[in-house]
Amino acid sequence: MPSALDQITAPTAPGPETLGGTVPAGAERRARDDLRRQIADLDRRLGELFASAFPRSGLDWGVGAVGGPRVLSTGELERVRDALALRLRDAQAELARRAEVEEANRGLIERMIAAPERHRWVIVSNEDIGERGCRHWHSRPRWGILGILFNWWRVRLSSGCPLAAGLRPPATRVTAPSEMAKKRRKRRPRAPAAAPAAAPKPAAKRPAAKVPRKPIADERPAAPWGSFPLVELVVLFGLVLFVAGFFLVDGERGTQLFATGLVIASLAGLELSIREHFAGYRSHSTLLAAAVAVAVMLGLYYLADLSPTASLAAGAGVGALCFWALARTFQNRAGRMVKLR
Amino acid sequence: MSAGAEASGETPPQLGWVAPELVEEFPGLALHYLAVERGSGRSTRELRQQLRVLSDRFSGAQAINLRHQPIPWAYRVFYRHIGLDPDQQRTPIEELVLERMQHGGFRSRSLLDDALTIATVESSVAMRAFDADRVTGSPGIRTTEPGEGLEGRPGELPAGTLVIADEARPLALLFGAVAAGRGVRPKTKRTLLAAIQVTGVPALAVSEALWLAAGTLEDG
Repeated sequence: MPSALDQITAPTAPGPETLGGTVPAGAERRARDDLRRQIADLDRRLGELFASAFPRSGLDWGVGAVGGPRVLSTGELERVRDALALRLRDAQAELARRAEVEEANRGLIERMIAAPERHRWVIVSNEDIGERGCRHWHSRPRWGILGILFNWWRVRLSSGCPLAAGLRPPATRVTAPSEMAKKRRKRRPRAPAAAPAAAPKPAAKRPAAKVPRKPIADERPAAPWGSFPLVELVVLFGLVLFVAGFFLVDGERGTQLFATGLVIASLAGLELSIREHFAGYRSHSTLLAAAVAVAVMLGLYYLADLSPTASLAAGAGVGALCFWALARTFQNRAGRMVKLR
Repeated sequence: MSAGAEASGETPPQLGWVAPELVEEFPGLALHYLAVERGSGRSTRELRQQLRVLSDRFSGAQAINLRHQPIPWAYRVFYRHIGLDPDQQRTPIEELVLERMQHGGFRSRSLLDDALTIATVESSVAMRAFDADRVTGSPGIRTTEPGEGLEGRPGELPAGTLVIADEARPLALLFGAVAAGRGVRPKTKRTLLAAIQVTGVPALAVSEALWLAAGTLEDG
């Protein structure tokens, strides 16, 4: 592709800095015509590049104005032309650099799919390969802790963008051609402009556990203790106790092991449910409300010596109240009352 | 004699004057105008429905590729030629399409503004509207003289600023603010629709834009 700068020629004659309201004839005007043609060509190329760059963000397309509307002098037209050429060259260089990174990331996806166990926890998103959408490829263990233990890995393809959230975009000020619009338009507070997105980075250097990703409702919320599989280990421990109590140990000790395993595994599951629910990832209103109801019921029955009927009624009441509160909380977080996956 | 008296009813669009020094500098620059025997007012349900249909026809891909199209590109280039940055002070069609993308549709404001929105989106031609009874003679495009200003705007305009003017005073900056009291107000009875033609914009598109806006305004 020929550089835009190659086609730029010097104006045929030097000109004054300003026109001062008069337009000199002859060579001076031909020089300006020539510059205007170059500006038109550069703007066309910049427009083509802008369209081909979509949906990549973070590129600077701005070319400063020299002030107008007025007839620009030769020098000012040269400044506009030079600024356009510079912007075009920078954009071409940046796009070429990104294309290399994106091509490398596409290769990485192919390698991940071929051998996921060699690319543990690696995430490659659509943004990393220069495409629109929120899809991402994530190398994850199959069956959680079992996959880690037995080296069973797979690449999961996630899709779907999160629901729109947060402040609405700032209202645009349209220059209405008539004065009627000015009388009807209401001013809205402007939200702060979003910072331009950063250029994509090589995905191979971004293991999922180490890179903080934007918390979105379509991703399972990260545990406070990081990537360590604590919940999975606790569940495994609970299962071991559960199986040992049920099959291997007889008598009262076996029952204790069975119950302990059940409680430990349930608590681990409950922790995960709480995390997912309050992050707006998945609704667990019924489960959490039932857990609270059972806890209240048992507490009242064993500690407060209430009758079974009263304990049941109180537990049911508290459970219903909790369900309402939990469902409202989830609705606030996720934008809907129920979200199943 | 006002421009509205020259061109009213079924009169075809008229060609406004352009200062000689501008004709030499920008050979494609022209101002076409058409007077309509009605002012603005509340938009109608049919017009709002038309805006919704128009909104549905515009997708993000079209918005991205807008500057590839000849007429929007011609205005972008002309903006650069006169010292404006079309990414800061957007061309009328880009401004409307940006609003369409951000708001999810073309907004309905008033009868006149909806008519201009429809005409601009359909033809991509930059249009303005003035109170025809407050325009002296025929409108045109010229540069300002030293000491001239825009009504309602403090201070003087820099000499050489491109303005739409009648035979007495500047009416508006070219692609910019309208002088106070010269635009269409609630009590305006006759509207002067003006379309700015630049190099690369066919006269047919300009005529179509004016007819479309005038027709919408008269039917509304």
